[in-house]
Amino acid sequence: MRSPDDDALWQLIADHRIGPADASLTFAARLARENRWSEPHAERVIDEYKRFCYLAMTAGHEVTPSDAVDQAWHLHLTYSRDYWEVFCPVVLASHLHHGPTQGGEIERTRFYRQYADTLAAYEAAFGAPPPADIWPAASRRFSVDPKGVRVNLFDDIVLKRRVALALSLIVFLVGFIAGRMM
Amino acid sequence: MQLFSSWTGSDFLLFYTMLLGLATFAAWWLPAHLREPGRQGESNDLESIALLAGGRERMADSLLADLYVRGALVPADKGKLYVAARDLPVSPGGKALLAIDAPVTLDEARRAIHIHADRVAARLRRAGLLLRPEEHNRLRLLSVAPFGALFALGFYRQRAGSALDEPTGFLIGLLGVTVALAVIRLVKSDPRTAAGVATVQQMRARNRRFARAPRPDEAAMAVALFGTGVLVGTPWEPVHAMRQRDGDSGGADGSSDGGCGGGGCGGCGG
Repeated sequence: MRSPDDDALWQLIADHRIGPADASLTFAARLARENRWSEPHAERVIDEYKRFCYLAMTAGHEVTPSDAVDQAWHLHLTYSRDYWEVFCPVVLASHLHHGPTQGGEIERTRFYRQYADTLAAYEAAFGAPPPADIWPAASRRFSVDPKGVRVNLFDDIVLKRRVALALSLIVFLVGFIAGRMM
Repeated sequence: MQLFSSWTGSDFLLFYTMLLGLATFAAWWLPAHLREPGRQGESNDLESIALLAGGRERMADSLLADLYVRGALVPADKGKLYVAARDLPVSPGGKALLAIDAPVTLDEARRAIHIHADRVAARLRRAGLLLRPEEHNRLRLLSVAPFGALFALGFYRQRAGSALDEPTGFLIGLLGVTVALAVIRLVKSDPRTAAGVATVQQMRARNRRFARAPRPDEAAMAVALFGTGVLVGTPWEPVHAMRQRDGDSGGADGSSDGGCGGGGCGGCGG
């Protein structure tokens, strides 16, 4: 595998800016908004997405991103002019297709192995394992993260589990005390 | 019965509780800093690392994981595994597991490797990574000594209070807590030398990626270093499930389809 140090490909990928620079809603801001992330976190995810793209070109095997990196990839694909007319032909000098799972045990095993290989390739190329908050353990990647859904905050209320549990407990206690007092 | 005679019961309880906190701190601090240094050495084989990192149970877990990944064990009913290939070239511990006739349970696996685990432990003692029995016993005594001294003090005060018909129920409760903590410390005593502890820490730091998604050839070492929890979400999860069913360590569970991939040469549309 090639090393990213002084690597022209890595420099091209790292320097590539996704989306127009003068947009009031930048690529990072849109990614942050769609995933309820802070903008600095979205910027970090984009950096990891670029590393993923570098690995896709250099690892010598199919690669699988974390869910966070996959969100950046999905969004980049919607910037289709940039993705297909600039990023792939000029920066990567190759096609980089996105292939979602077809479901089932065989696919699950295949994607697990690709994910494990991707983490190993990342460590070999960049000298350290990827950040755990963006590239989580397989248990989260393949069991928890796929449960994410699109929610419209105008229609629905979203609560963290622990907040919902705490509120339920408070309501129960208030009801119990009120019942005792009456 | 002069000592503490001017103290009220609540004064002594507060004093005892503070000492209990200090004794608990000392019981963990003393063995961490006063264990034998041992010798820093190379001991990178799977069985040695597993035994050093998590004892004989961990050694059985990592051997099971190794055999499962290599296809020598396959899932059977009720969370058991059965032997599918007996002629694989494996370590002596692995051979002991493959010799089991009936479906393999965790207890049977641990029994099967018992003698081999003794040999590995003896090798680690010679290498200066595990404490010799007399050193371990000395460390255990040192660990529980603060609780012993505290218990003697509390027992003295309880007898004195009882002789004067004072209520001593809370103090008896605290004496019970003291004994319970001493027993936990005695049972949980770490049998490794300082070099053994350092070896495991270095191996974990060097291989921390294994804890997230080990590759097939890394899975057994991942279990050796971090436990079967690393197998959750992997194709080798039945090894972890077997351990969970037998009432040991937990971890996330459940699975669903997820994943996308891509590569420079082709891939698929989507």
